[in-house]
Amino acid sequence: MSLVRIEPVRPLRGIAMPGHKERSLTRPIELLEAPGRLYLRVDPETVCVDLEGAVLGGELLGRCQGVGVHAPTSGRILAIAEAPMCHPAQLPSPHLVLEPDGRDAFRRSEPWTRLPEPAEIFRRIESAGLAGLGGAGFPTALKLKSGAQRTEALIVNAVECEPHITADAALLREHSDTVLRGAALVRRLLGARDIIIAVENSMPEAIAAIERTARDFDEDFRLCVLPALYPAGSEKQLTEALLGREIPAGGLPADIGALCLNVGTLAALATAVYQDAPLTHRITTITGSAVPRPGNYCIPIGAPIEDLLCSAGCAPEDVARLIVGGSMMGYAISDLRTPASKTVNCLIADDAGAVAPQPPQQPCIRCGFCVEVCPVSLLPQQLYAYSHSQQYERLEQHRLADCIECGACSWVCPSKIPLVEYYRQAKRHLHSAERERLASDAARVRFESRNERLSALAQAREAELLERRRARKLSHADRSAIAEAQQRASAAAAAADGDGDGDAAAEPPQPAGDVNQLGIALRQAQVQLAELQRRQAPERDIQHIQGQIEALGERLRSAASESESGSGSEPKPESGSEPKSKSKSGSS
Amino acid sequence: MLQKTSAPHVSAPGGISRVMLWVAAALVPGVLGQLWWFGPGVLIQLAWCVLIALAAEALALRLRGQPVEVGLGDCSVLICALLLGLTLPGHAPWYVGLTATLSAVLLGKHVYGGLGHNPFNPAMIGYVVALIGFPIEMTRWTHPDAAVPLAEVWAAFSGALLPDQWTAATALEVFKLERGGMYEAEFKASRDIFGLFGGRGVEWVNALFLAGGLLLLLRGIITWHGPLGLLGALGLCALIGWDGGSSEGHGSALLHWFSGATMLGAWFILTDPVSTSATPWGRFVCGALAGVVTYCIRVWGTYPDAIAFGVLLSNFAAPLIDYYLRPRVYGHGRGAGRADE
Repeated sequence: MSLVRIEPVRPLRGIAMPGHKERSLTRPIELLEAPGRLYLRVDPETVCVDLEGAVLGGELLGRCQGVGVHAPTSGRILAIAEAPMCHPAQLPSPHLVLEPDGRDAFRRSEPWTRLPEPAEIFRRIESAGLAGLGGAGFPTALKLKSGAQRTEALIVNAVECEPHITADAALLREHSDTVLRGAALVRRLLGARDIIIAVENSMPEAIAAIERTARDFDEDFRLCVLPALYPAGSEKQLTEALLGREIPAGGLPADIGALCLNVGTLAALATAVYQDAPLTHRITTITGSAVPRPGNYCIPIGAPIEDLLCSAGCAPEDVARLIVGGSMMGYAISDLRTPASKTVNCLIADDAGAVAPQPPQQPCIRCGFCVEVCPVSLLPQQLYAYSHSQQYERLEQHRLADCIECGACSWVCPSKIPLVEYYRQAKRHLHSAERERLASDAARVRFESRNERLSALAQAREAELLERRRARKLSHADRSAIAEAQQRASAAAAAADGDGDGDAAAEPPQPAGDVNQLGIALRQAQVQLAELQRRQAPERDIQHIQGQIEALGERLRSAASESESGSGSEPKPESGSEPKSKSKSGSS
Repeated sequence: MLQKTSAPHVSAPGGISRVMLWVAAALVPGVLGQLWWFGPGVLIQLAWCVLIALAAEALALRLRGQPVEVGLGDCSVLICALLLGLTLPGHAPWYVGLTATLSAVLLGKHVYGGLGHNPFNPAMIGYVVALIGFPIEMTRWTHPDAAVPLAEVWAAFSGALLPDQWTAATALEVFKLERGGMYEAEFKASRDIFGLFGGRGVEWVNALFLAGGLLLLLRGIITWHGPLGLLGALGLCALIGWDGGSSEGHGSALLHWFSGATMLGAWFILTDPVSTSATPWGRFVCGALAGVVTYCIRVWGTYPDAIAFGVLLSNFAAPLIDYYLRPRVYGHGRGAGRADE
């Protein structure tokens, strides 16, 4: 309904650096055909299609770190093979090899014209393989969940502050309606109050497109046009500039009521929800001095970078360096056969002439240029000194962990020190030290609990021995009690004898609740029974006594279990005295 | 084979030498002012100091097994020599410059490990060695109105003391020692060593150094923190000590700002990045410390000027100041999660 222009709440800090965007900025998005083979990174245990079977475009193939992997086109799965991972380390990892059949047939989809319940929408988002397309690749479903019920402002991030990248600008220029649909959808799902679209002033066509399409929506949007400064597009800097709040260290944007989503992610989300089309393609800027036709390309995910470069008219043998991502935070890869992942927003292929030799590193003169540009207010020169001298405690004190590795410090450094590289190494060291610490902590806890368990066992054994010793001492008293019981039992038997017939068979004394008394009563009854049996008393009397014995036994068991915690010695007098009473009854 | 560079793959143009050459360029107005008011001696001193400094630097690099071209190419020693040359009296004999420069480059810089490792400003080390070693030569400044013939200039450089007819005590020295119970305004009017608001001639040299400093500030080579700290503290002290110009007063803020080496010190010497604090507010505190020390020595000490001592003392404190005045990191402390809408 309306689009309100807003100004940043806090002034944006950053470096105005050459953007080099003019080569690809105004180029239309061009769809690239799938090459001869696609390599889709997947966790092998999650593969849910037949190897060597046929698949349709959009079909779920498996998962990669919890995010669904879908076929970008129809074809045949050939194998699971190792290919270099699209990652700075380029480790070989399992990829599904898909041979496109050229039909580009897609599975049947169920587009939604009216939205169902939020839970169902969430289910679709989860199954669409959505990950952050801005570069970090965080699973979108998880991000939305982190912001559920507590998001005030949804930030639509189109601030492509890194040099060369124009993918977001191109997307907005051509598909701003899809982006806005995605934003409106997320707002509804999360109950967010505002949608703030953040763009850079270097993308006038994108701004015009947003202004044009926003009129077709029943929503209120806010548009903030930011100066082209690096690193304005970083989540932390953008949130602070737009909301005036800092994301707490170690926290999430959701902690301050913000959720930041890249425009590409939002477009993919809208397409996934409304068209039921999972994420299989993305928009990537292919540029650099070795690329004759630089531009913005819609690439099938999983296509080898080599093939993508060829499609842009670039001869792979001319490439002297290939950077995945922007020239500030991207990484150079050494193998052009690396397949493109979901996070590849830019490919910069430079020829030998454009790759300047790295200037020699000179000593730090503490000029403080890095301090002025650090977006998180660290002291890069101190961090460098401490990294160099491996003073890890000092590094933690100076908050190395908060470094976002934007590279602004390295960019301005007149001594040409690769500062970020030093920080990465130090971080790696701290990380492995932390892991070791955790492992040793766990080992210590395990050791301590084992010791505790052993000492508890030893104590229990000690207590049992004591108890037994005590029980042995008590046996005197027991014996006199037993003798008394036997006397009473024989008296009762004599009485029954005198009676003649068992009609008036003496009722065993009704015992009190005490375990000892119950035991005595039980034994008396047993003696009576034996006596009756010996005299071949009538069946009825014997049954009566047997019933009594059973009832007494029941009561004794329950009483014993009630007072079990007491000493545990209750059954002992019984077992100890039973043979005696039996022998007694036998002898009598 | 593809090249693997580490991020960021691009960097800003220019290196250390560019920074240093900008500093050199910003010194030019002040040098011209000194040339105008104090004669060609300043050029001789500069040339002599630069020559010795380059030779000493090359020798030191050679001895330390470092690449000589890279070390000389960063131009840092050039700045050190220029600053030192500007602080020496124009008619000091050659051995003063030699001693000062060798002390600066060898003792002030390379003994600690070369560029970037020296805890003290090398130029000020050299200056203080010369001041203590050659007290007479180091205080023989010419009168701003004296036109010393070239032959005398050369003779002075060769070792002959400059005849008294051309020399004069500096404004700060005169103000401190020769007042004799006169009101400030009266006293200043009676002596031709005072100018409009500072020392005669020196005030304009200071103004030109100020202009050069503002150029550096504009180019982003220095920040305002250090100079503002020094000038602010010096001005504040002068304001507190100001009694309206009695015979016992300690001089106005203007006198302190525009006399001696104040502006050169504030904009070019204190801002030497290696030896001062590296945090923005640390630089301010370093500057303020230097300002207070300078004022105290100027007013109560035995030396007429004390920028060198002030700067060196602030260099001493820099590591400690750096440690305690770290900026608040994003997401930590009071700013985290706070809204200021």
